[in-house]
Amino acid sequence: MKNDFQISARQMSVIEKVLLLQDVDLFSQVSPEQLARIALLAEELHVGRGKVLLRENEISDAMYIIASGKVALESGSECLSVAGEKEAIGTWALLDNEPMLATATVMEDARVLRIERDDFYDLLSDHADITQSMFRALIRRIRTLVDK
Amino acid sequence: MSKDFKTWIRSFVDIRPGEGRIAALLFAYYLLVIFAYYILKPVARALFLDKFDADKLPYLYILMALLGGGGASWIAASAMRERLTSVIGKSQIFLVGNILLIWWLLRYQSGVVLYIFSLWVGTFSVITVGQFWLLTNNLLDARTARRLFPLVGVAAVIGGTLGGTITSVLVRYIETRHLMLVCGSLVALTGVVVRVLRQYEEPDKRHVIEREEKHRTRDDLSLVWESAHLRTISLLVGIMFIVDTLVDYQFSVVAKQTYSGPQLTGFLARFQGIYLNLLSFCLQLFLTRPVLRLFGVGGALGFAPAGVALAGAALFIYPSLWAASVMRAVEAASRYTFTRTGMEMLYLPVARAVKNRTKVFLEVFVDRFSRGTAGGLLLLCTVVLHFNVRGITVLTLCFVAAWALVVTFVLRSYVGTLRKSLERRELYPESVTVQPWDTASARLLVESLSSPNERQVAYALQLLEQTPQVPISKCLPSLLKHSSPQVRAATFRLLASRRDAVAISEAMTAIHDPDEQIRAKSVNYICQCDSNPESRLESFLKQPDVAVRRAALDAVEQDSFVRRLRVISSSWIDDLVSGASATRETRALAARALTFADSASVPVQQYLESLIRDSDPVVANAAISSAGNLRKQELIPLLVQNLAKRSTRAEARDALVAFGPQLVPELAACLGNSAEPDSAREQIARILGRIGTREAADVLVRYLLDSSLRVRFRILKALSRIRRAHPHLQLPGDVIDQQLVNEARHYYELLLAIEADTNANTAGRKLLIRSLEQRLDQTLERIFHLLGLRYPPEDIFDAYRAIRNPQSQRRAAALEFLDNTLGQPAKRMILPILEDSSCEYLEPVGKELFGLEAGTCEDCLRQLINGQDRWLRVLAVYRASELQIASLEPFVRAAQSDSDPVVAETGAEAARRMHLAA
Repeated sequence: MKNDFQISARQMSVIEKVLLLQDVDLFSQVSPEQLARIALLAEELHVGRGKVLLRENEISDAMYIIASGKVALESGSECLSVAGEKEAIGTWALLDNEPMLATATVMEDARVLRIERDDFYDLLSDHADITQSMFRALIRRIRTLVDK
Repeated sequence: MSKDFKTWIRSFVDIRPGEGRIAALLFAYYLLVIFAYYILKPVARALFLDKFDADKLPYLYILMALLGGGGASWIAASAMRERLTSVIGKSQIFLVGNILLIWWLLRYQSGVVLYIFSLWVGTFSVITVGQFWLLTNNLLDARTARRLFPLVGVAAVIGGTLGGTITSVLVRYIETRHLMLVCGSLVALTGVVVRVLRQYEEPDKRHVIEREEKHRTRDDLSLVWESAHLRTISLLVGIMFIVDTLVDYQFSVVAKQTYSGPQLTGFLARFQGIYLNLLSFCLQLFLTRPVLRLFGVGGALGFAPAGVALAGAALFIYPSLWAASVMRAVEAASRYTFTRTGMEMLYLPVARAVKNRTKVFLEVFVDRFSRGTAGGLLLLCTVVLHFNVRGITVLTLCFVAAWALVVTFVLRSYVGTLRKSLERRELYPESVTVQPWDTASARLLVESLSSPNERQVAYALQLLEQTPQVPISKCLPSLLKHSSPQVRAATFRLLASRRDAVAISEAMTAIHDPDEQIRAKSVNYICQCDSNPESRLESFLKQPDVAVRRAALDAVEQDSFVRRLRVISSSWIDDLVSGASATRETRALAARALTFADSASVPVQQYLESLIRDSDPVVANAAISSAGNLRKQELIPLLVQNLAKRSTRAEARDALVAFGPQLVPELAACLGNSAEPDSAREQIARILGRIGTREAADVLVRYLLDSSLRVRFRILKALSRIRRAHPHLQLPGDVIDQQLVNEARHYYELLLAIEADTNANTAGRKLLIRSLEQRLDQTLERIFHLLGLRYPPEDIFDAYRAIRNPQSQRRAAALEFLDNTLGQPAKRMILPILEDSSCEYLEPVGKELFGLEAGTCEDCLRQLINGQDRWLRVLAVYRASELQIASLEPFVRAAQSDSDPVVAETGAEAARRMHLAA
């Protein structure tokens, strides 16, 4: 699927990627320096309108963070939501091997950051502090859900 | 000697080749200790009863409850500072001095001396017996010590019998107090034995006490109070000690009425040293196991109250020395045997740590409280109510009735707790030192095999490995066909431990099972049931099916087989590594198998060198693991190289740790080599921390000042680890103090940098401030690591945790602790940081301590751009472009050509932005 997309001619700098990544829920507890390490893995792609980033019931091996543009999330023929700038899709694909629950289709030409799962796990194996920060974010999210 | 007799003897004591001499010395040591004690004990009691009436005994019980039993903690603390044999030698000289002093003072027949002497005898037993066990634990590993334990029991019986006999004979010819001199000679003799045992002690070894958290009696009390089971156990122990004191009193009174002078000493010596010891020994040897097996925990715990009740009734009807002696003998002997065994079973559903704490609570608090209470009761009954022996017997029988009642309660709570613990898989058989289990517990285990919960079934099977007498043949068919692979594997494992060949045909099918654990356990089971397990194992390793070979190798790694296998030859390895059907799996299998190859016939090192360099991490990691198992010195450089590779780093670290302290010089050279990448040096610091010797700590300290931030943090963590394991290890204070100053200064610099940027809160500023704050946290953590190297590490860690928690009510207490603990220079630097983090408060402190002045934003960014911290350099360059600070443009341009790609990329982007703006 990645081959359907264009790699940007001018890539975002590490700092710009960090600024984008810090708004992703999963990385909310990760420090800027750790985000810079993740940023080094993140590949910037230009995706044209109508292209599919993730397909329902298929297993994905990456997550995407939208730098610009809009992406529709659909299940069957129903539109669940529209994701915009600084929003992440396929976050859980980074952590498990389960099929996607929705199809993500680009509505407006988009610039996205793609983080592949294998690269990400390689990074985690070297930086336990990133794993700890992500655990903190996940636990915080679970607590919020439990409190609700 | 017939084979059966040998087997019978071995079931009690299993001395293996090479252990004979040390076993004999330990045997002699304990024998002499008990010999001496059984002279002192009757002498002290006889002299006391001779001087006073028995009605003074309650005062002695109360004094013993208040003051008795000191000395054990002193031994343990001393043994951590110097060699244990030296500590024991010195204390033996001290004890001999005590004995001579008491012998000299006894000529004056002073009452005070007799009280002191009686109390001192209690301390003597605590010190000498405690020292014996410390030395045994130091010289032998836990398994050997456990095997030799019955030998110690025999030494105690012989020592006690000798003590009783010698005392009862000599007292006819010499004055009672002169027996102290015999006792002194025996203590001196133990000194000689300890001196000989010194050769088995490692010269630099200090006694290491199993790490236990500090607990206050209040904590232990709440621990016991929260568990109904532990509450009932405590009540049982309390009543037991009250009855023990009452029975001892009655026995002493009747003995005093019957004998006096040397006859009393002789009688007490014969009774305590010979009759009681032999009775306990016989009960333990011949009756405890059958009673436990036939009547369960209830029988073991009920024996003592039933026996005391019968003997008490006899004493009430016919008050005589005979009846009093039987009551005392039944009470004491059953306490040492049946009750002790039954009590051990009661701890089955209790975790070892909780058991240890409960035992300490029972020994320190319940024991003394009960004996003190019994002393008070006796005072009331004898002095106020003027009870005679019959009256005290009635009182004793009342307590015995309560004892029997509590036994029924404790049994009910035991079975209930055991059932719940089985369901929760929370039994702790390792904390139970008695075998076999009682029938009720064993029945519960077998019942659990029918549980629908597969994990509970597997757990019960695991526990059954430790109870070979419980039959499981009825459950076997369903277990071997169980839907859970975990259960089937556990069944084969259990059958292997029993060497029960009933399921060999099922195992032959299971060696092709898809589950690798089942394959390994069935191979092991088939081998264990064979008359020649090693040769059977080799036949599996020769099979063409690689999965079977792997299962056989798993069996070698997981179970007990010889460590050299002839079948692993060069051709065997070649076939797997470069044969026609070689794959990554076969190469990995070959790499693992090299651990068990005979290096005389197989070029193990060459194979390992080649496999460690394999491009596939699975193969490389298997070869690295084998290199660690074999501790091949020649492979160390190759292993160190692998520390820098992400895919093999963890395995290389474990392999290098396996080399142990001999590796420290090589690791020191690597840590000091600045050409080594930081990623490898970080790992070396971790390895040194895990090796954990004094030499490893010295190397870490040596490179503390000269390392990069990342490596320095790893060094500090490694040092903290060593220091937590060895709190008395002294590290070079000057280096640590110097680093403390560096870190504190860095902290104040970071604070000033945060305060300097007061411009618009753009994205770049937010990132910079967040990163600086993170650096503050990291610096504080390093400061506390350093403090932990200078002051008690556990206390410093507690203080750090309290300070890091903003809602902690312990924060003020932690500050107070640090204020009282830290030395003046450290206090001046660190306390202000912890008390108030505002810049208004800290700026003057930083100026006073380090001459630091608050600079402009431009100054701070310049310092950060030119600093060592790569990430802060990136952010400072970005921020300079955001603020368009023209004076920083040369630095931003310079950053474009930095060797670090992220700095260079940010520099280029920043320069472009500044240029566009211009």
